Amino acid sequence: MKILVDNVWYSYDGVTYALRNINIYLTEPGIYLITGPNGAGKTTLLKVISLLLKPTIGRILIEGVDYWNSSSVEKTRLKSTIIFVHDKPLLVRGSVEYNVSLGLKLKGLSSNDIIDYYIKRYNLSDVRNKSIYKLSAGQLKAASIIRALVLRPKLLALDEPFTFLDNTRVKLLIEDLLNLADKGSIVIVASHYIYRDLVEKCKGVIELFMGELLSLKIK
Amino acid sequence: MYLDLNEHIVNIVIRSLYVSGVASLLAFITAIVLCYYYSGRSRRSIDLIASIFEALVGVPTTIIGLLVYYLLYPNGPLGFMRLLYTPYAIIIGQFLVALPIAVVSLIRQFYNVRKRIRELILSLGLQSSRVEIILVLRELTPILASTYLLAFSRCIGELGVAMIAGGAIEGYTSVLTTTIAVQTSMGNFEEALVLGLVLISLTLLTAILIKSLSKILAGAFHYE
Amino acid sequence: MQSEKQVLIFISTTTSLYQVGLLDDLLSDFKNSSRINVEFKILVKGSGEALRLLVDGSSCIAFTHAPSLEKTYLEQGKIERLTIFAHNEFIIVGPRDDPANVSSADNAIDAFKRIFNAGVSGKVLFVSRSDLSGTHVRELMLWSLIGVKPHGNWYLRTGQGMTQTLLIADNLNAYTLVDEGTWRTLREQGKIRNLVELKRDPRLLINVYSVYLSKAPNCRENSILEVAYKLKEYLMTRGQELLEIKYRDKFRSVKDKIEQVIEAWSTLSNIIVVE
Repeated sequence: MKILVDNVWYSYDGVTYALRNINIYLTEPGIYLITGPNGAGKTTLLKVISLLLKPTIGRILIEGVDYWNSSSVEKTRLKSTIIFVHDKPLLVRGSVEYNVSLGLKLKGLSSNDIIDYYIKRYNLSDVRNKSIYKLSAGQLKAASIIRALVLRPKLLALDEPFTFLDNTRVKLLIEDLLNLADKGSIVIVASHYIYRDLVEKCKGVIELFMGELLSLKIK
Repeated sequence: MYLDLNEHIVNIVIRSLYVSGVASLLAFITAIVLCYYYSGRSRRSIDLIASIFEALVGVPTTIIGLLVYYLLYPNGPLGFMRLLYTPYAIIIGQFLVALPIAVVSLIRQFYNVRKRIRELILSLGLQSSRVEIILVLRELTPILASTYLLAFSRCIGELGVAMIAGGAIEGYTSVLTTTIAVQTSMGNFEEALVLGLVLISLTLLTAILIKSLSKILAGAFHYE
Repeated sequence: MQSEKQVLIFISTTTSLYQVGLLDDLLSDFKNSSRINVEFKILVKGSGEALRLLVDGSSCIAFTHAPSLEKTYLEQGKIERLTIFAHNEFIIVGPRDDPANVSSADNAIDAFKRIFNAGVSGKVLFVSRSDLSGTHVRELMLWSLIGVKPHGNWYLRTGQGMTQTLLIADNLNAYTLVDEGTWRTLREQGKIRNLVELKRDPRLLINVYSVYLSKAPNCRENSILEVAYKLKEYLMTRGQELLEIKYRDKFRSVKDKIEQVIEAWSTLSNIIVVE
């Protein structure tokens, strides 16, 4: 998957811009980090890349196709392989299992093996059938991440994935993200936490400041 | 206890349940459609719509009864339908009584939940309004249940509409509240009290029924 | 007969006739004896509302006892009288010890004067229905004949039916005006503990019950008119017998004295009530 962020500006209120003149071209699979202080525009950029927000100015090209100016059939096709994980877990009423398998179900797929695998891996077996209202913050976060992982997206965007996770789960997640990248996906992570492990193994670092691209390092 | 009523109490109870059940169900469905339709609008319009309906909640049921009377009386705009002093007149009035409270109970919830669900669907790489509706309704099931209960309780407990638009005709449009009023006015306080207890028990029973039903329903609403 | 379509007629009635059970008796006896396929739906209201519904055409027939109101609508051409069919008396009731000394009054006007004076000086209470019912209209008539407008702590307005108003008066040991039918019914049921009958006045306190037919277009269908005129005929014949046999202590028939009752009605209806 190739993503071109072409001269993108974004404004929530039409007055001030959260993103200004962003140009990024991601061609190689791998993990990319978006860093920067609070209010730098990390989440906004991540949502624009994941097609959740339409740029106020500029274009997003997925595989060379201008997403926001394409037909609805084309849009559905392009969008289906792009998954975004919110920093605050966005879960629905129901059990952990229901939530974790929601993405697959909505896409008409089902794969119990993979769900079992991840639920065990992230130590959620005990709460598998419990309502999400009874879970800890870390368990909620893990569930929302698993829901994305089981979909094996071509582009996975994660907003602050490490908050609330304990060290064991952070290690597992970094492993899984690298694994996904090895299989040809682009993984974009916006985070305050800079794990040395991750920085060493990532493909590129996108540094934002006050809505502008400060630096773009691609190995 | 022996009740000295001209009509058997079971008939009155059945009529009350039927009339208020239908009225509150219609109001409930209308409220869901309205709220879903408006939930895509801006926060501001939601607040505006909510405050309009909040104000309407305060309209006394007697005023709504009079309004229905003027709609339905022989020279009124809908007089030709000959609905005055029929159970349908009460249903129309109670629908108007229950609608605002149902909308008020739902509209902000719909707005918040729909926003979340839409974000969720997009983040999972989907664009489907069908999925959106189902997930929103599923997420709101407990609130939907309590809203219906609220609408039903308000309908079965109101007097103004049933008295003015229904006419409290024995064996035809008399319901629990009007029978209580009539019995009281005849000095039969004991009968009125027993009917009042029946009314309270009915409301409580419905509450229990709907709560347990919503639990089953929540299970059945899984998206497969 | 059976093949005929059933006629549906809404009847509004003053509460007293309904609560005593007379109306149900009359209507079912009428249906049985005339063999007309008709269904009556009964709206139990005060005379004011009963007449208003009649004018609107919301009901087509009304049983009322408020001559001055009836006259207003008659003169406006909105209703027509079928017949006067019964009468009884209003009674002034009050506390057993009668602090206003109503029992020794010359007539109803004098009695009300005494209540007014005693009320203003804080010695007695008076309970008024204040619902524009026949009884209330009569009460207003008496106050206006004295030329006073009662108000103050001693004058209580219930806005409710006769039974409830009477029960309130009984609980408060207050004076009130009540129709004979309700008074006797409640006393027979043992619901009156404190009040006693204090004053009658056959001239000013005669209570006349009439039946009216609406002139609203929807009430002028032949099927309805036919029933209405048959009902009138019934009320003046078989209905009168039923009154005399079953309700003789509560309502009196108008047989053989229709002229006098009509006379009383027009006297009453001509007294203009200043509210």
